[in-house]
Amino acid sequence: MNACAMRPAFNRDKIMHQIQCPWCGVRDEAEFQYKGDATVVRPADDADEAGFFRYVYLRDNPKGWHTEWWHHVAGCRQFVKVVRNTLTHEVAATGTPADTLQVPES
Amino acid sequence: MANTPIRNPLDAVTFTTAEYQPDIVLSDVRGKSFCQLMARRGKADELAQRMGISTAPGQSTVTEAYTALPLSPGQWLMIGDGGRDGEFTQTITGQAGDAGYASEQSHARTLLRIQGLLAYDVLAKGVRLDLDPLHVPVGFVAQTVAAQVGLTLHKVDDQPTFDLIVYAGFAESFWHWLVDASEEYTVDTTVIDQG
Amino acid sequence: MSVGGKRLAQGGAIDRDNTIDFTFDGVSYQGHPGDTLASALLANGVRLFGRSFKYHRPRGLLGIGFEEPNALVELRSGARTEANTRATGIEIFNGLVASSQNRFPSLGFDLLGVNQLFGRFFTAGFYYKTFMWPAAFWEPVYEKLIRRAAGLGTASRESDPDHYEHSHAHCDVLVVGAGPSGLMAALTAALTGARVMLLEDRAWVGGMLALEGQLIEGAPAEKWVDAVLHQLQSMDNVRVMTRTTAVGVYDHNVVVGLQRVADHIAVPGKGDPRQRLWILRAKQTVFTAGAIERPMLFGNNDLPGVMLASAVRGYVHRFGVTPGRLITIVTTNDDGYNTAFALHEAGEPVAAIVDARASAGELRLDPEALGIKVHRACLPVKAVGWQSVKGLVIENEQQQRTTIDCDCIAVSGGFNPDVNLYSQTGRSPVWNEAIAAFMPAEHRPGSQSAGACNGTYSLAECLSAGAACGAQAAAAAGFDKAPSGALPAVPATDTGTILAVWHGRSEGKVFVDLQNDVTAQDVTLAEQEGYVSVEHTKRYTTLGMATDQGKTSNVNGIAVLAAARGEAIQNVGTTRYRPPTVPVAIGAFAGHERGKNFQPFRKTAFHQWNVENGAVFVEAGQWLRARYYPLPGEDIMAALKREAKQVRESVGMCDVSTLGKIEIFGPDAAEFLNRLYINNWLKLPVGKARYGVMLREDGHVYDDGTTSRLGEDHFFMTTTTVNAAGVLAHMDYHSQVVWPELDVVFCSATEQWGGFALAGPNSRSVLQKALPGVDVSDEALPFMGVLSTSVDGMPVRIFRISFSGELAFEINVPWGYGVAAWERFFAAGEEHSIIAYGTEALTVLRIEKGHAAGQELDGRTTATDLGLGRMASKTKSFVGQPMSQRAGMIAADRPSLVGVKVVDSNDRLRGGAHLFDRADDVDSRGSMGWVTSVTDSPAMGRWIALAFLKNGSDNIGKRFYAHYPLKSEVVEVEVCSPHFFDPDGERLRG
Repeated sequence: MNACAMRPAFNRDKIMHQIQCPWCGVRDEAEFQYKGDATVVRPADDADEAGFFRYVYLRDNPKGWHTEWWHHVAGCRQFVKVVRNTLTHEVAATGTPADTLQVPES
Repeated sequence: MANTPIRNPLDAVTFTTAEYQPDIVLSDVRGKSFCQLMARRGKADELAQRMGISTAPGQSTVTEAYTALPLSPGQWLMIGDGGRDGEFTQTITGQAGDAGYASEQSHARTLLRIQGLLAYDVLAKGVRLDLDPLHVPVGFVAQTVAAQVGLTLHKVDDQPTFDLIVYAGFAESFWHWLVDASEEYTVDTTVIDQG
Repeated sequence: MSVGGKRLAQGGAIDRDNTIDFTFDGVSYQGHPGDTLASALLANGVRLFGRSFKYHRPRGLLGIGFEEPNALVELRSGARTEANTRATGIEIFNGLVASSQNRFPSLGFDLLGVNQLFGRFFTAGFYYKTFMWPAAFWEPVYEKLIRRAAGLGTASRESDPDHYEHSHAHCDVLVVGAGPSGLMAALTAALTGARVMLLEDRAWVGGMLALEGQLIEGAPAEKWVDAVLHQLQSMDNVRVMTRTTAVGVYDHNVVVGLQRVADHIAVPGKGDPRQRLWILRAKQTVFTAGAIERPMLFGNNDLPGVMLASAVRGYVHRFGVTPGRLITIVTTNDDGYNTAFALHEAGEPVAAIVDARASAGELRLDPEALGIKVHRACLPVKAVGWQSVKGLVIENEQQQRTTIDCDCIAVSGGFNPDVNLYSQTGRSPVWNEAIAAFMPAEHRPGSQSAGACNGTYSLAECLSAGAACGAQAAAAAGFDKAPSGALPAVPATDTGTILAVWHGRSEGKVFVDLQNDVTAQDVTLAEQEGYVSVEHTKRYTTLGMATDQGKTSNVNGIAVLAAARGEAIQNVGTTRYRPPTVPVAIGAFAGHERGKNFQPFRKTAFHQWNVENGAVFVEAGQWLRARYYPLPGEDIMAALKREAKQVRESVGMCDVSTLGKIEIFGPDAAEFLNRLYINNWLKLPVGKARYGVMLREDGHVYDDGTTSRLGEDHFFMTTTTVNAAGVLAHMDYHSQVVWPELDVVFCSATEQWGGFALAGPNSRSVLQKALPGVDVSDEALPFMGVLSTSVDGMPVRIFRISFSGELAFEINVPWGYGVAAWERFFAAGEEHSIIAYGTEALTVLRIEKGHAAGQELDGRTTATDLGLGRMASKTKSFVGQPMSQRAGMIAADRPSLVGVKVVDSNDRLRGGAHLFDRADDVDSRGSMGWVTSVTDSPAMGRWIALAFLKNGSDNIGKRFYAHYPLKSEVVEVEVCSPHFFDPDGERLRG
């Protein structure tokens, strides 16, 4: 998959208490399991301890837009990347792990 | 030679017939063979082509030999009659060749069926999907959850008939939920043996 | 003069040909189909509906809908008793039993009514001030007092016999409220083809149109309402739901509606739920919830007989009931006059109209021409009367007072748009001076308000706003077909002006919040004491709390607070509304998931055999697992010891179907496992199993199990029961996100294979007998060997692995063959007195063998802590490897797994006990470790345990003390190897 593919942000006015799974379509949030920050990337195996420490423990706690993993565990079992506003619960965009999603300006 | 008796997950259930024309028919469809077909990395299209099935999400492919329900990218639940002791899975594995693998699931899955116009209302008590016939064509497939049980839902026809495929361990519990949810209507519960 | 309400000779949407019998406080009454409990009681002259919360003052009916703060009754009896139901919303049925609340011993004579004589003790924050000291009294004394004196209704202690359901629905446009705006919005949206849902709290639609005599297209408005309803109901894309209240609006336009399916009948029909909670997912929402009239603030404004003017009009028009024999209207706006006209048209006398303004707007009729006295530029001072209204004292601008005789005071302080749902979307209402009320400002995308809830009060404007919002919502949902058809013709009306009057020159107690007995004086006092924020004032005075959530009190309270602060109302603002908008029974929230349906159950492949053979089950997650199989007269300890002993001495079978099973395929499957597990997998031969340990990325142990290689690119993994789902998700993450390049696929096979352990020195003999002709010798099936075969058409997989420490095999058969396979093996074991053993004996055996399980894999232990450190590969990287090397993770003094056994065989051990090196002074000395799993070991003849102990292996042979403070027990133990039984593993290789 193209790592730079831009998925169109789906219309924020039209979404529901639901998450757009890139494969299944719009599904209820209850089918998903929150899996945390999607901006952290596992370091190479030979990375130093500090690198892994950051990967495992250090998280921003943004007020506003946040890119996170939602595992569609009761659906297609895919990890879905979701750009969500932690303040308003708006979802700006979703995509596959390979997608780079644009984060709106807060 | 299969001479060892097979138990069904709903063996402990009593099936009943309504006194008059039922609104809802719930069936335990037995005897089907299942396997989960999984494409190797990057070979989903190749595998789909070999099997004559679609890669499109949310829509079943029905052939003479099997029904393929898409589960996730490059993965399908294959349903057929080819034998529940691994024979069906072996056939599918053979057809998949180098493009994918099949995991034997004949005993892991239980196929329950709901039929009747009021099926929409019964399913709405648990299924969070929009099943409005205007939006959901025959052949629609979704993996979802109802009554805390994961299921694969397949709209078989416009009666409507929905096949609900659950894991065997949950089958009896989910069946009870279906019966409870149908309680306000007249309901027949039956066994359909397709083995 | 007779006082109180009565049924009018004609009028109202009630069925006068039929009667309904019901009781209130044990007295029998009659009403008609179409009546609410409130209208029927009014028709019977009942004025006293309850006692107030704090002062136990007599209270009557104030309103006509869900805004009602006073007339809360206990409905039904026995297990179906429901407290705090609003008499205004209850449709009567034959046999209905209702009773008043907060009266002791009776409604008419209430002993606690003397509370009002001590009113100064019950001021703002009285709970905080009165029940402060001593702290020891909080629970035993004060709480009981408060609950006795100040409770609302009483809940039944019996289980609710009815059932409740949830249901899901989707639509393009959801309209909340079926008044003129809502009907118009729904119709307009529906005509575009959009899927429309229309929710209405009442049993009937029309909103204000059903409550007052308006004209549409030259005919009574009800005709138009019926026509629109009929049209909507005939459309496939529309669902009209009456008796359904929108109780909450959540993110992304999820709206929760409570449908009262069977509240209007005595007992739900067969299979029907009592109530149904709808989870509605709308693309667009239109709020058309209407407005709620505001009471006015004057002395004794809580007397029975003081009612909202629009409610009085509604009772006359809808129910053919007048709430009083001689009614005074007090108003700040033109709408109050409509109540006077309605009464006049019904042939009822009006005592007077008191208008706060010097002049009214353009009115439909001239009151004076009708013979109604109008007092202009006058304000109410106080109502007079003891148990109910007998008159009203008013005052003009010259401070001259007049007393008007009347038995009912209909008040209109203006209208508050119902902004509850709008506020729930996270937006704040703003003050609008023209209508003297808070109204919506900018809406959240996807929602709109129309009509009275948006501050639009004239019928013509409501209809056009409804149509516009309906069209807009449909277009936004993708249905942009232009709406056709003109708006219905209605007489032009002028809603006139309003004079915002708050707290005038009143005398006596002026109630702001009737439900919570909060007075204007309380609000002022709270402000003086520093509670200047509206949110703080609410909590301190209880203003706007409880079942009505301040529907009639909030704005008056805010106005009084604003006056006390000397600020404009808009600077004070409103509190945030939160769901639910009306009280919801817990049963409705629970739905089907109650009692045995609380969660689904999951049965193993051998469940039926377990049931037939007397197993006692334990819930392990959702699984029903056989815990032990007691013989007659055996208790759990006797059963588990017998089972464990028989396994050690001969042979037993244990259902292990619940273990997670995952089939893994692909050229990179071995590499994938190699990265997930701490040990090496690349060189595992086909046909062999291996024990593996997985870490979390933070370096702690996550899960363990055996994984077998069934083919070059085919593996079969097992996980612990509890982590079955978690491990699969862990694998999803790593294969999709971290190493998408690996050519590996996998899926759950947990329920494809029923599994049981066959363990004990005679297990091979049983296996051989059950599988004649299959070579199961040590050479053909060595330790950690895997064999796939079949017998009588049944596929069988045999894994030579052991959890018990005995010679053992794990047998897997396809799920449906489970019982047949079990019976086959059990019969084969008969000559060895084979037994079934449950999870309890399994635990005994694994503790004796020193196998870590859930209590040890608690998320805080490392592989080294568990004695598994040597398994970890030093030549590869794996999940958790880097973090497992951090200083704290490899510190030498970390508590590590040891065995402990009691020194005195009469002592017992308890899980959770802490280990100390001295028997005395265990309280102040630091714990050196803790006990995780305990058992009264048949093999060792005493209580033994697994434990974590600092410098564990260095302490082997030393004495410690296990302290269990919950039972004040200190037991001397000896530290030993965790491998209590057969430490060299000779038995399992035998």
